[in-house]
Amino acid sequence: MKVSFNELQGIGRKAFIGIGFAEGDAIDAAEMVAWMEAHGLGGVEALKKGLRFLLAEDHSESPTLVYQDEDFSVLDAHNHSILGNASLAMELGYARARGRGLSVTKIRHCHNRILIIGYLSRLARRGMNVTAFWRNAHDPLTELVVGFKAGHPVPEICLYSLENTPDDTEKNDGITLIMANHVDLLPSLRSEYELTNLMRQTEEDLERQRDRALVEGMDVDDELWHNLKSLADRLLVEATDASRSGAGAGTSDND
Amino acid sequence: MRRLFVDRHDDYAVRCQLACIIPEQRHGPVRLDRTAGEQVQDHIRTLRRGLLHPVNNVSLEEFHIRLKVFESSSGGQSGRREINRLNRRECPGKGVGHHANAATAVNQCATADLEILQQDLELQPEMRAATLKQDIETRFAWALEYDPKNPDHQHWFWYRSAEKEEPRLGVRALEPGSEKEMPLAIGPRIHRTHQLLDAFLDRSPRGSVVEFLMAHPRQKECVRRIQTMAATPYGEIQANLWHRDMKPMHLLRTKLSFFGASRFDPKSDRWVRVTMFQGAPLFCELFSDHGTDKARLAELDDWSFPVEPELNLS
Repeated sequence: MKVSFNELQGIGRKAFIGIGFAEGDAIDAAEMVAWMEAHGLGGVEALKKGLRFLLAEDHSESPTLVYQDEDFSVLDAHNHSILGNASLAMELGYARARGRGLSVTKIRHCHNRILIIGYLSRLARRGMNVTAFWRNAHDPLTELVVGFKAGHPVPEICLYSLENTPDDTEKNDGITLIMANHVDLLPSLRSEYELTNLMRQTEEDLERQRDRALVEGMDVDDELWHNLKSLADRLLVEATDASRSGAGAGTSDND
Repeated sequence: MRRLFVDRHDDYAVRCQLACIIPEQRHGPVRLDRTAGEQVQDHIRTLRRGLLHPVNNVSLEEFHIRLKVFESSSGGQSGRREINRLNRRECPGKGVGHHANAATAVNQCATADLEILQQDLELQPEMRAATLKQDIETRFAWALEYDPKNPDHQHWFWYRSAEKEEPRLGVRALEPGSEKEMPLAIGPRIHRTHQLLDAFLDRSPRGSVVEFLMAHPRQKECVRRIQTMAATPYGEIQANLWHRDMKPMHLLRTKLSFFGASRFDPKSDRWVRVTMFQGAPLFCELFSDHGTDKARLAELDDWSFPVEPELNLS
């Protein structure tokens, strides 16, 4: 089915609250999914894959600060989806960069990592240069680099695979974020090395995709929509005679 | 000249709209050299124009003009500095986040006309927690009147009904569903945030907002709202929406007047019959030959205000 950005964002927000997210996290998560989908980055598919994990997670468990100094922070997300309250980890990096000019934030043990791009867009819109890097350790070994220039609402994205897998490669389920207050971090994503480019999205690609999605709507499969609607319905309270009293006109429109 | 009739509730709604718009810079910086009355009139007109002609919105043109200025300077950083300079000059006392919002607005306008309507409550994580507490005490003193020990202060709760998926009211002590309560009453939430901030500052007097939120993550949305709306004198309904004496009719009238409703005819304190779009311009008036007549279009700006009745007192 086709839905608008607002419809996807709205049902997402209600569904996340129904799952048990705090209100602020639900709003952020819904925007991340809708933003990703509108920019052709598979927000709905990522949510579909991660929904089973989200339903099993303890949403009261926040990322734990493992280490911090003035401009470097390491947080443990406890194998939760990035859709939970990981936004605070990003805000921590943002605050550090505002104060110190540059910050590095590592979020360990998280999944649904691709969705983080939706929140990083907000930091970039607030005037922050942001680069995110993570590696998927399955075969072939792939690395994904996302670069936002300050003030630009869309990033440049590069996904590539490595020809040679380092011997010491281990399971990697973390993200590294670098933020700089005053300078562009990556003027453009390019490399002198032999890379097998799997995907390269420029700002123009993503803007075109977004403009099309806002006009034509976005595809969401019926099953996922039904699941989100069911989760949203968890918030509804059954009507009683007391709740009906005084709530609008009765049987006659001339009441 | 038509005389407009603005009753107390409609006036409140308009001020709410203005309060939402002015500090967000969606229609350009407020010109502080004008009187408050002129500013309000100016923004009412801009608001109405925005509703009628979103594509030709004056503020959008204003943003595009600015953008050209920025483009002629040496890159994006210079542009942002220019916006910040304008903000500091025209809206003194605002924080970094406020400046960033202006940069955001310009960038959004530059990329797509549609995005001018985007509304974000953005966090200012670098703010001192002590500043946030001070803002609550200065700007949200009404919320601190909430007394969690007084049953009258939490008499009602708001929920979404399964029957019509509409917000409804229940008596907390008597009716089921309070565990699914909608977080509509911002007053008690701000009170709670203030309490937690107080305890946090005892432990970390120089702590930042993000450090406070790492300790109390469920406060994120409330803090975002406080930080964003603190600059909007009419941005919140300044009442405890749980209070036994709260009348939902007041909220209904405010909300409906946002949609251009008029001729309010309350049927109880929970529902009201209204007239929509009275006096609204017809399609042909906007897009036929009439539509090219700017003076005539300007006359249509204020259609959503009811015309003052002509009373025959003889």
